[in-house]
Amino acid sequence: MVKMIFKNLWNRRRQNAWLFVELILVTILTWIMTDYVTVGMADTALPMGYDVGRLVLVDVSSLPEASPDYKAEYDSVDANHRAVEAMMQHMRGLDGVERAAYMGSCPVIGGTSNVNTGMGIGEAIDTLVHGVNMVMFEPDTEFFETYGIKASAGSPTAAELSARRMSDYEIIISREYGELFWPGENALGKRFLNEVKDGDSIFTTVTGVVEGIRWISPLRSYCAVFSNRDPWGDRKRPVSEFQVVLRLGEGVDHSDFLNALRGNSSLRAGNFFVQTATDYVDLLYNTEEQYGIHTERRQMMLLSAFFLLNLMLGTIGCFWLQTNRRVEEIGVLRSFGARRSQVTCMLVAESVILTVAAFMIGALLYLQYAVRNGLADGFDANQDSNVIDNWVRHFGMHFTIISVIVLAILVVCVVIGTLIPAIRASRVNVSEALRDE
Amino acid sequence: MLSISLKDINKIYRTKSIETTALEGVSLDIDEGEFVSIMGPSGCGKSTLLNIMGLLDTPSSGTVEICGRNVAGLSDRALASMRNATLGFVFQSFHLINSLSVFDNVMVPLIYRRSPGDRKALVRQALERVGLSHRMGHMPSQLSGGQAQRVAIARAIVGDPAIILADEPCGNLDSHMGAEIMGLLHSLNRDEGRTIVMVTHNDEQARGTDRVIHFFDGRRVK
Repeated sequence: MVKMIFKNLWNRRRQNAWLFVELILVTILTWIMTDYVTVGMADTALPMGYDVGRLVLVDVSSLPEASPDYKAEYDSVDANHRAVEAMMQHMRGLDGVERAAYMGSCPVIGGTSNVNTGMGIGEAIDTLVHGVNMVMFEPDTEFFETYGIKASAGSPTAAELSARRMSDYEIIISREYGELFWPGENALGKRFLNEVKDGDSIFTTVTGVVEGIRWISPLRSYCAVFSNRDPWGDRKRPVSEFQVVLRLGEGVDHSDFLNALRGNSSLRAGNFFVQTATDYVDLLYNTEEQYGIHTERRQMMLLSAFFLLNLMLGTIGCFWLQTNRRVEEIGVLRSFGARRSQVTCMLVAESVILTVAAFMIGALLYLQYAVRNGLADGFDANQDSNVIDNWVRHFGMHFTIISVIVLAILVVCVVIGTLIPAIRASRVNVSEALRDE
Repeated sequence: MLSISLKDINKIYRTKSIETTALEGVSLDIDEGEFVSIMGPSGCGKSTLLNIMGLLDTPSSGTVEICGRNVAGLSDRALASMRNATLGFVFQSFHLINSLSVFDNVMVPLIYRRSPGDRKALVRQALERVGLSHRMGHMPSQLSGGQAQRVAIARAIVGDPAIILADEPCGNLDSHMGAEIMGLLHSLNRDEGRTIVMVTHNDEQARGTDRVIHFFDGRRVK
């Protein structure tokens, strides 16, 4: 029967020519849309690199002087800083709180306070200019454990990294940044040339490496540098406000916690009180919303879905019509002993073979374009961020994965377009199928 | 032995508002090796009867036996197998598959056989039998009416069926070609002992057969 299928296909090549060309075009268009959608979805599904779902950001403010509860004895720097620490301790002691740390240099890791800077050269490597995000954190405050940022293999643990008081010539970097300068190697202990002063080279040493972290959803892990800072500048001035990141325990209901926190008027230390508390998930969502990420994503998904649906319906319709035209042939085959299942399998097999052949040509044609112009790379800003060699950046793997998805989509559509009318046609009474008009 | 035995066959077509009786109380026995014609005006149920004999349609009531086997209650798979092994069809419109060559058209019944034997040899034999071995590579569109019908006959006999059912085999042919086809059918009956049941409008063709059965309004009248 297999030979018969191929003979049938070959002998019907004229009738199938337009369908074949259509399938090639559908392959190319489906490829373009599937590539974009798949890369976007894959990027969205990447882990953030820190435990977004367990974090709450608390804004702590000082009462204004005019407030009746304002206490002047907390005006001095020492009293003010003691009140800050006391507030921190109060929050650590709240029910449901696992850990607390002063917030890094911006609420969403990698946010607007970051600096894009070329970091000079790694030892024995030519100068590379690359964007990098700097995150400042307070040592001895369980910063990495609170956020849930993981240390890379071979690096000191997250707890050790959090506790270490680094000098100005020591940094912690993300694995992506290390890959940029020392691909495939552990960046721990490597050095960057910081400056040349009076003829002497001054280096910055990598004292820790952490796993990739992302800023907002469509971006992949970025190159990041972590450095110590004082949370309140140089500790010589009183603080009027600060932010604290709380890590909640597993299973703690965030809504209940936030409601309780916001309503807790007794949570005070000195003149400090909780002004706002926001779930990190909401924070992330709002940040993405500000940049129009969600709107853009929705629009592109809708457009892609619309075009893909139309392509698929068109393909299904063509095969449906073509199969319905073969009712007489089906009747002949059945009159000579073909079973319904055999007829159905034959028709589906013909359609699938035609589709696979058209797909191969379509994919090959698109490959020529892709080799020259590249494949989908997600959000534009990923150009600077995407250092780690994931499947999206690996041309061969990327092309193969998307090709498999496109082939699956096409085969499913073609099977639907052939199987349903084939089953119906094979159920038609043979005498009716062969009725001479 | 009886090739075909029909007892009290009724066939009623029902729609929402209309009920049409195509066959009513038809009983018929056809012996092995007989060449039987079925005649009657248009719409009298001849083709319906042939379809029921050929297991292409099921009666509303009554029993059908093919080569001594009652076909009532047989599954679709069993009916298909029986058609393949025991029956061969020749249609008025030939019903050749246009996308297959003459050779492949004749091959069709053998594809669905469990033990097809040497398919190519059987196809060649069948085409030689009908005098078309020189047209094996041709497509149906390249054949005359008579040639196309001969290919259809080759297809009908390639599986060596005991019974051939021909529904107005000469209906679309001129008298000359019709005579050729009738000669072939008679040869298959006489020389090979195949049972042939033929539906026809042509008195002359019917007279040449062993027996003529007349139908009128779904009933056997003679």
